[in-house]
Parts: sequence; structure tokens; C-alpha cells
Amino acid sequence: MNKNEREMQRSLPIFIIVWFYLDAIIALAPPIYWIVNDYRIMFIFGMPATLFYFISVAVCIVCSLIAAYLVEEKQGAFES
Amino acid sequence: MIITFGLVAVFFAVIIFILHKVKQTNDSFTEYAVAGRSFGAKYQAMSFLNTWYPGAMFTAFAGLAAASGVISFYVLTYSLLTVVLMYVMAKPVWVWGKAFDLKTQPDLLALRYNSRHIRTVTAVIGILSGIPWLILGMQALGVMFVHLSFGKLSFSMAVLLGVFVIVIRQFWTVRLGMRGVIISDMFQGIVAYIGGSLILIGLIMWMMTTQDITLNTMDSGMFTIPSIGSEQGPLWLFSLVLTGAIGGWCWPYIFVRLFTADGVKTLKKSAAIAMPLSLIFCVSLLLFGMYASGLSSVEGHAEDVWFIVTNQAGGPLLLGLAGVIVLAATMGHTDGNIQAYGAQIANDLIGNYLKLDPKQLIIIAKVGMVIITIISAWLATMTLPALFALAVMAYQGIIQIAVPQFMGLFWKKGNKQGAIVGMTVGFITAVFLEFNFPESLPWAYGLTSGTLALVVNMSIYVLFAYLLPNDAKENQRLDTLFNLVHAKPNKG
Repeated sequence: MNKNEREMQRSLPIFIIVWFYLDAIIALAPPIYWIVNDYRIMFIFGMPATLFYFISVAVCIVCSLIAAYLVEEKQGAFES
Repeated sequence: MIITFGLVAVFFAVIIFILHKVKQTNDSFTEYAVAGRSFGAKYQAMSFLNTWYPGAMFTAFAGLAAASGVISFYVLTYSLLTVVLMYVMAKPVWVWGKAFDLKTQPDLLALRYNSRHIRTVTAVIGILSGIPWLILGMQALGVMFVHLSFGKLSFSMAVLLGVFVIVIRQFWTVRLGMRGVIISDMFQGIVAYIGGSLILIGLIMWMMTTQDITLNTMDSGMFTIPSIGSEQGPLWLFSLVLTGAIGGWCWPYIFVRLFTADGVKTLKKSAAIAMPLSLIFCVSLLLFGMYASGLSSVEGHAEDVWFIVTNQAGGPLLLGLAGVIVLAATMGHTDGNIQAYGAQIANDLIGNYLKLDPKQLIIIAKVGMVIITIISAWLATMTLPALFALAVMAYQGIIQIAVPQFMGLFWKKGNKQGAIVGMTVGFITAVFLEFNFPESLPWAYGLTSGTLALVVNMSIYVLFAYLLPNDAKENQRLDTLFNLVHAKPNKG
């Protein structure tokens, strides 16, 4: 992978890229949902652990994307 | 029946009124296929949602939530992850689209791989995979009309009525192309997802307060995720989310949304607008399904949960509104589907081998849309027992486009040989495995056929990249292409 390819992937701030990777890990990594399933009858914030897991993952993904847009806009990434 | 059918008729009349006000800006094929790349973030966001969430969400996924519980939330996870993917690829796709006047997904692959034939392969996979879903959409309207008639219409009559409604609606899709689709998506989307969410939240409150259903009263089996030792296999959920997230942008009618925006900023802003709406709608729908599992009337009729509960809670008026919402969601999905396939038939199949002027391309696209509509309508009226299995198989097949599409955007080494061979072998592998091991592969810990085929596909793609490296001329062309993206500001 050369410099241009790397830079193309890095047009976003590093912490946003890390957050996007984190989204993918918590949404996809099987060991996480296997563990959550073991605690499915435990209630967290009034809901079963597995439901809490899915909603937390969703909120994390939504926040990461909104943050990405706000950061890029603040940094002037959309200006010509 | 007068109330339920009356509400549907009023909604349909409003849609037609809106479409009659739509004016095309010029008679180019770019205007017809991608609305001249002219839409802002709000239209883009609603257009994405209206194409992404079909009417079947209210039947199939609400039904899955009612029958199986929390596992249904996988649709929420992949629906949000796929928007993250859109955010990441928005810039290269839009910049190349604008610079080279790309109008379809196969156009992009043909540009990236400098290949005419990849256009044909991608278009054929896209069209073949999409038709089962069109038929399912039409049949879902049949289910809706059975309920709106309080069982007075037989299922076959109701399907005919559903097909009739959707076919009439396509007159404007064919006439106006993408601009008509996106403008109507705005109204349909507001009705289906904002109106739908409000009703769903109201119904959840109704079930909690008057029916005494809470998360505590639900069976613990409703909160199970397939894990180690489960029937589906420990990697099943992983496969569902992965194929859903990357598969989203393989559908031609979703991908073309990247070309209808007026800039990269618009695309990224539309993602930020669509995300919270998607979250609220999907969580409301799935929680609604889970709560409704506590109603005795839903037992054994999970896929009818939306119509049963609205009728039970609000009588014919709420049932009629429920029908309007399903129709709004179905129309958005079906219109986008038919429009995208018409454009592909003209641009990527016939236009790939014959030199056609814009007027001829538009005529062929319109004829293509009419043919696709007629074939789907005809098949929808038939009894096709394996249709849902075929639709699932189509999903496993179409995600094979993901390898050349995503890797091609960020990795220059990939070449046309690897893209075509990988995609074709991946598609065949997925179909073969799905035929023999429907749902999941027990010997692969629950991976789905499409996921395993993706591994094969990607291995071939990478192997060809190293065995047949691009020559100096091709490398230079790719450098220019990638530099173009790097040089452009996000504004486009």
C-alpha cells in the first residue's frame, strides 16, 4: 500500500477511524456476544443484557458517525 | 373496509399529486438515471431509508422479533454499520462518479478495472438477485390487503390488487426516472419511518400499560443469541451482520444513491441525518415485535403482528394507517429497485455493446423497467414455494460484488481478472452452498454460504493481484484515478 492509498484511507481523523474499527469489533466479534449471551437473564438499566448489548452497539455506531461528520465539518474538510 | 381502503386511496392520490409536480431539468441520461447529481442531504437521507427498509420490515422483521426475540436486532446492527461503510467510501465513489459521469454501480467497476465485461457480470448478478425481492414486495402488499379487507379478499385476489397498485405506480417511475423516485421517497419516508415510529412507540406504550406486558414477563428464550453449542452455530450472528453490512452497498438500487447527491459533504451529512432516524425506527419496530409476542392473538401469526396489533389497539382507523405505512415503505423500495434495473439494462447491458445516444438510452431504460415490472408482477401472482429461499440465496450471491467494489476503492493492486473470476466463482460457490446447506453451514460453525464464498472470492482476487500484476500503463492510469480523489476536497 503506497502513500496515496494510505492517505486516502486516512482522510478522517485518527480517533474517528479508531472509533469506526471499534464499532466493527463490538458489532461483529463473536466472543463478545457469546459472553453477553451467558448473562442474558441479568438486567442492565432495566433491560436484559443481550438487548442492552444490541442497543449499546447501535448507539455507539450512531454516535461515531455523527461525531465523524461534526469533526470533519469543524476541521473544514468540506471547504473547497 | 371503507376506512382502511379509503386511507390507502388518499395516500396514493397524494403520491400521484406530488409526482405530477415533478419536473425534469433536462433530457440527458444522467438526469434520468441519477437525477443530475442534484439532491441535498435531507432528500438523500430519506431516499436511502425508503429504499433500505422495505414494507417487509413490518411483516418479516417484526414477525422475527415476535417469534424469536432479541436476535432480530441483527438487522439494526447491520443497517447502521452499512451507513458507516457509506461514509468511508462516499468520497472516492462520488468524485469518480462526477469526474467520469458514472451512472450505475457497474459503471464504477468498469472504470476502476478498465474492463467492459465486468460491467456485464455485475449487472447480471445485480438484476438476477433483485427480482425475487421485487416479487416478495408485491406479495407483501397482498398480505396487507387481506388484512385491510378484514379477510373478505382471498389471498390470491389481494395479491392481484397489490400487483395492480404497484404496477400503476410504476407509470411515474418509468416516466420520471430517478428524480421522481427521490422526491416521492421524501414523502413516503416521512410517512413510513417517522409516522411509523410514532405509531410503534404508541403501541409499545399501549401494550405496557393496558396489556401488562413488560420485558420481565417475556420468556427468557426471547433474549437468547445463538452462541457456542447453539443449533445455528456460534458464528451465525457474525455472518448475518457481516453479510448485511457489506451487502447493503452491493444492491444496485442502494449503491446508485451515492451518485444522486450534489457532493461528498451532502452524502456524509445524509448519513448523519439517516442514522438517528434509522435507530429510532428500527429499535421501535423490533421492541414492538417483542412486546407483541405477549399477546395471545399474535401467537402462531407472528408475520401478521403489525396488522393484528394495530387493529386490536385502534380498530379500522389505525389498521388503515398501518396499511398506508406498509404501502409507503414498499413503494419506496420497489420504485428504487425498478428504476435502478432499468438504468442498468440500458447503460450496462445493451449500452455496453451498442453505441447509443442519450435519447435511445432513456427509451431502453424505460422499456427495461416495463419488462422488469411485468415479469415481477406475473411471477408475484403465481405460487412460488421456494421464493423466500431464492431471495435469501440472492443475498448470499450479490454480496460477492463487495470484494471488487470495496477493495477496488482502496487497494490499487487488484485487477480485472481477479475481480471477474473472484466474483463469478464466489457467486457460484454461494449458490451451490446455499442449495445444499440453506440458512447456515453446520460444519463451518454456522457461517452462511455467502460468507464462506466471500473468503474464496477474496482469496482469488488477492491471488490474481500478485500473480498477474498490473502493467506500467495500468498502474499509471490507476495512479491518476486515485490521485484525483486525493486532490479533491470533500465538497466535490
